[in-house]
Amino acid sequence: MKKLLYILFIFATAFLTSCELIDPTEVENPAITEDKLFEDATGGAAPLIVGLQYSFSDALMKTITYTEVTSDNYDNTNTFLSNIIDNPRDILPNETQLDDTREIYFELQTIHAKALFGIEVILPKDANATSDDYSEVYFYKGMALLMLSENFSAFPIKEGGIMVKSEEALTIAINDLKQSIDYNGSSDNISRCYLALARAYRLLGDKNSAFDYASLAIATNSNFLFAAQYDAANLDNELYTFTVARANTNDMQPLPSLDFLDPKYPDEVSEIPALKSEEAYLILSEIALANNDLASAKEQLKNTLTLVKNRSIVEFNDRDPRTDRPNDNSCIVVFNNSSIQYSGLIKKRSNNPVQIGIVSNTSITEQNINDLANITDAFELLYKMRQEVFFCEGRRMSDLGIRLPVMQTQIDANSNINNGDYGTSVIVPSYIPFGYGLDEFSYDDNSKIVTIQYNMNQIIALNISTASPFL
Amino acid sequence: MLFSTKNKTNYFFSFFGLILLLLALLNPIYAQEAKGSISGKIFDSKNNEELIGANIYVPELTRGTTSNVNGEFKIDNLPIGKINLIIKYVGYKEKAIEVNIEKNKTTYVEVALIPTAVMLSELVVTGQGSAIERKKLTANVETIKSDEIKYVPIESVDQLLQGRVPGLNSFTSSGMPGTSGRISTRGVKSAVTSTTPVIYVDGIRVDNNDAFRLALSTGGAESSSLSDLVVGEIDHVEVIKGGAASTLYGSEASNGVIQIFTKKGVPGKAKWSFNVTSGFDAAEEKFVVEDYLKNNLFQKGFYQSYKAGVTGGNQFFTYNLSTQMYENKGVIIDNKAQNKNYNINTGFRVILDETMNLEISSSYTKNKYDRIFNNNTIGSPYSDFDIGSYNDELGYTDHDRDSLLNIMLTPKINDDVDRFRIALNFDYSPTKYFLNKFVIGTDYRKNEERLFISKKIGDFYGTENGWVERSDREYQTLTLSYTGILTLPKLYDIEQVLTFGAQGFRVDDREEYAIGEDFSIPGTDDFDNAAVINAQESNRQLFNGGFFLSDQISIKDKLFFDFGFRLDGNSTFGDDIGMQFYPKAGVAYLITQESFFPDIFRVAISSLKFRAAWGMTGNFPTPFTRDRSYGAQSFLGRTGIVFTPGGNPGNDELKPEKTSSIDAGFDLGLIQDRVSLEVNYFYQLTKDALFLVPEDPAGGFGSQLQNVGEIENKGWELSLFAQLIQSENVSLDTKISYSTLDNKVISLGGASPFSIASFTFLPRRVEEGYPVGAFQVNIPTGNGDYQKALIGNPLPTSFGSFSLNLTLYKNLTISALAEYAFGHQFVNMKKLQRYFAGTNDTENIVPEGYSFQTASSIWLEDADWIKLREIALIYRIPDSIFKGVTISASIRNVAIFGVDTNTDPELNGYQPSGPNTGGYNLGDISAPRQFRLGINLNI
Repeated sequence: MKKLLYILFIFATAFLTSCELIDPTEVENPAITEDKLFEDATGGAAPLIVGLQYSFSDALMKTITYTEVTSDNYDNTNTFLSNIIDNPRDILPNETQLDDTREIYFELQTIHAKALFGIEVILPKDANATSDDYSEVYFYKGMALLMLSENFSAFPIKEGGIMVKSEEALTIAINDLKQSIDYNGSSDNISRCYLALARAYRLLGDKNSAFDYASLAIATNSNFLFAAQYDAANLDNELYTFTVARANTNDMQPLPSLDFLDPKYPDEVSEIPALKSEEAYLILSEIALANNDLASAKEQLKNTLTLVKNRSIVEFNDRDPRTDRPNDNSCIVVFNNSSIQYSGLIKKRSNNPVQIGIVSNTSITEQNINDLANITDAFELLYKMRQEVFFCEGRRMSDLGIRLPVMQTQIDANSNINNGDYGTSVIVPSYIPFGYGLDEFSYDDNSKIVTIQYNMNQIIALNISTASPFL
Repeated sequence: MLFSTKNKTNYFFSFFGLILLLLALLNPIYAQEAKGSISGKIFDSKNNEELIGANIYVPELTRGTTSNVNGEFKIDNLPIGKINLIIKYVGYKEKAIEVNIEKNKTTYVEVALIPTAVMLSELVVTGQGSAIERKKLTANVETIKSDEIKYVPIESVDQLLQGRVPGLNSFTSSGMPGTSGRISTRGVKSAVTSTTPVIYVDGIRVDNNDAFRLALSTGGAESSSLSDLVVGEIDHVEVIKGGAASTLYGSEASNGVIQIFTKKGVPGKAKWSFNVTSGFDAAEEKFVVEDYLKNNLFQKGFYQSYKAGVTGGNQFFTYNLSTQMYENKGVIIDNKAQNKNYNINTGFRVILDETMNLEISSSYTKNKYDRIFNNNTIGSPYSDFDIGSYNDELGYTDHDRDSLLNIMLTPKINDDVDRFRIALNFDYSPTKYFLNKFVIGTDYRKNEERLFISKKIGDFYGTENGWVERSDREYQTLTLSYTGILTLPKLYDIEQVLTFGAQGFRVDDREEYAIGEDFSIPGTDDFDNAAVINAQESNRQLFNGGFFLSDQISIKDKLFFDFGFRLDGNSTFGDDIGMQFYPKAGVAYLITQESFFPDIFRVAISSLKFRAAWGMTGNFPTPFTRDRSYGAQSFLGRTGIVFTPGGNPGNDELKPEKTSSIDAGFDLGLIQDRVSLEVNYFYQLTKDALFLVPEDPAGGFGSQLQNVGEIENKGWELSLFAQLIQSENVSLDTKISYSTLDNKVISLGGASPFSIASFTFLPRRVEEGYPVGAFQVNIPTGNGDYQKALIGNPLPTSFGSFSLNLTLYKNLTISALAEYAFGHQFVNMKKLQRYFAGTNDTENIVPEGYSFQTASSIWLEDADWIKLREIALIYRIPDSIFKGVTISASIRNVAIFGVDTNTDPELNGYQPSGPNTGGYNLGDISAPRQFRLGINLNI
């Protein structure tokens, strides 16, 4: 027994000593815990803003991937993503791509939540935070609400909050953007805020304010571009994957009438335009048309055209085989109910260089604008121009009048929201064709004629009182 | 002299000589009396192989010994005249012989023991606290013995387990080197954590992880730490499948515990063994669709292996040393999937004095292997060609394909693993009633995985000048334990063993990843040559410590009870959570020991034991998920705070998942122990199951681990072992196992249903009333309409194995092992990709008016399979020709039956971290057919 006591004593001593030397129970979380974050909060504004920029770039890209497929711009040809969303009426809150924490709704809410966290927690604790920092954070908060409102009819704007209609969210976004201007009056900041404000007021149907801010935007800088940045190592532009690298299982294809615009982002770090001066001219044109002022509308459309022509065009060697799609410069595009033939819209691919507009491009000519004889035709041309100029920027679905439901997780995780509430169902205007009509076309390989089933810009023009926020 | 230079073991002297010398001096020297002696040899009646470690004793004198490394024994100082000798060995029938001892002479006997199917006296350790005879177990512990795996070509733990344990799945996930099987016991108990059981080697917890957090993405072929868990010479393996048998392991044992015991040697003159094995691997082409691939991608991969070992020792010190090196050129052309490995393994047992002994085992492994891109990764030759991307209809010629294949084989993807393990087991028994066991040891694994895309092929992979990626992982686990085993005085007919102790382990897990881009200057893949370098790391630490108490009661050696509990603390638990309590209780009743058991039944029934046990085990949460934290995201050369990825909302009430298990069944020995049948029913209910519960998206955080779910697993396990023929020259055994599994999510605890790592168009879901990973599909109902439905199950609902072992004329053994899995489904991603590519065979597969997603149920297929895993032929050359030479020929992955599809349903090309249920197959390479010819020499 003595020996046992002796051995136990040695082991106990060794154990206690080793515990002190190398405590096996001690663990340290390498992540940024709340304690660590608040321990030295000075200088917190800078990483907060970088985080917001990251989230904004991510959310914009996800918004584009989702809404371009939902709209008539792109068809989810061969990807492992959802192609149910090609048929917008089938979109439910639990649609697998929507109800995903890496996709559009969640990513947009993340920007807003993080900006709110910045304003309420990080910036007040950072003794060195500047008014520029506040301006930046308010800008992203406003943009988050603006993009949510553009694509969703209602959503909560705080954790556990009640549903807020997009109109109400837009007024908060407007307030945020104005605060951003108040904190930072630099030309670049006010240019982007004016453009965002013009878009917000357009969505609200407020002609006067939209006009004012569109005009202010042009007056400040008529050749302005604010774009989301990408980073090959940390956040690459996934549109590159789906529209350039493509491969067998990542293939999204454009509607043939928009073929000449594809791909828009030739590189994995290509920036994506978020706010650009073209939008101001197009808003002014739409307001003019809403006021039955065809001449002013034409002038603004020409201004848009001039600006578009000044934007960068790059040559890109597209290796896409365009399998089962028209792939010839001689292809002619017609719309099902029209005899007008459009040439030059389809470009030969498969190791052929194509000219692509990486900011804006359009097939519309000055002559097309001059030829406009009535308001309806002008609206058709305006929406076509919006479609082409904002191609692959995530704007078309909203122009078609489609609004998505919130994700199912939002309904399940918030006791104030129930299935069936406003904002939990997709809104698809009656003029949107059923099924996969938005992406339908036929191609005759002999005559090289591509027939697009639905001329959605014409349909929008015929339903303009529903489609345009200004009417 | 303790060691002679003749037996080449003198180099141990420097380590242990002093200790042994000291011990030898301390030990009493027995007086010699001139009486008589007996010596002899014990061997297997079936194949004449010597039996090492058999017990030989003289009951009248209460004296005995064990057979040495050559199966030999000697007992001196025996009285003149007739004595009885009893010989016992686990797995064989006890034998008693009468021997006549003559004065000053040594009587020599040879004893052949007959194998038995029933092993009631086998000692089992894992999960019991102390060694306990199998007959006393209240819940099943499965054992794999070394002779079952002696001559089959097994290179990793998952292959060792395949088809050998009822209720345990070890399915091949990929045929690429460095990968490992998906191991699970009795279903999936968690919707977020791995199903792999905890693995111990000689009492030390070892790395059992796969799906490393920062592993390079080369297309689903995830490296696994199980693939390089080489432990040297295995003595036996014990497997407990969760439930009551694993309660004493507490918060880590829901998935069960596998313990591997290595050989420490037996007394005797040094016995050397050498093995040379060579052969080749051939690709399984059953699932290759495109002829071009069959003709151009594969090669017959040459295999060579060299092993050497020595074992021996004396009554105070034994050793078992072995080393091996092997090279497998792999089945991909240009040796692009080659594997090289060498390992050194040691095992020692030192008897310090009559009260103390020490066992030390260690192992070092170097493992290196190459890979190609796999599955649907861009540049995966196996997948890219076989999914029809480069078909004739698109205008590709063989010339084009040759140049594409050349590009796809150019990337360098290799992994380099170093692994070291050491275990010290120290036993101190101050009296025969009290044993103290101390265990300390560590397993350290470091790997470096590299991928280099050179400038030459950069364009094909989307970058002009190529890149290099490197992923390092360093994992160390430290185990400390103390167990006290107190045998209480026998009270009437009641025997009691009280076990108590403490056990703790610590894990330090560091992963680093770096990418260097733009290698504009042709040259090496050194990071210094890259223009832009980015890096990240992920570190985890955890400590688990607990106390346990167990009481084993034996009444009249026929009624057995055990009670026990473990109290556990863990650094992953939330701040508001204290120690966790895991109780267990069980009973076993050996009814054939009763006098009332009718004799008429004894003719057929040699033993019958009923048993039932209830117990609880846990599964601790992922480290640091209890803390609220924010992610630091590098972006455009600066660092930003983000909520996702990397952020976590935090949960002060985070605790382990707890699984309560009921095991009940009976073990039957029939026809004089020639047949054993084990029947077991299990019911397991996991409460507080950890789900990644989605947070309100308006808060910006994704999801948080919360203990909200309930998951149920239940099923039957049947295991039959029969010695069909036991004649002088023919011996035929068979083993059959059959298991069923019914897995279901009982409750989500109010959380939203969610997907587990899935493809968006056809996700695997966690929803109430369905198995974990049920498939969400759209079923076409006509006119373009479809119905959304949850169907199928990625987990087999019945599975098992069948093996035969035939020995002819004692020298020739032929064995075969087959395995099957039924009642489950998988998504045939290869078929979908062929549809995307527009191949002829998929032309009309999607109904008119539907898309690949609105008719997604067409991609779901039955995953049933039957595989003949192994065939082995062993020939022991008679000693009269060549002493100690055995020749073995074997084939692994022999044939596949019952599969009528274009992809191997057993594989799982998509291996997420978390529950690896399987369910997706993108067109991975199947496990190759391995032909081996080996020569074993024992001298």
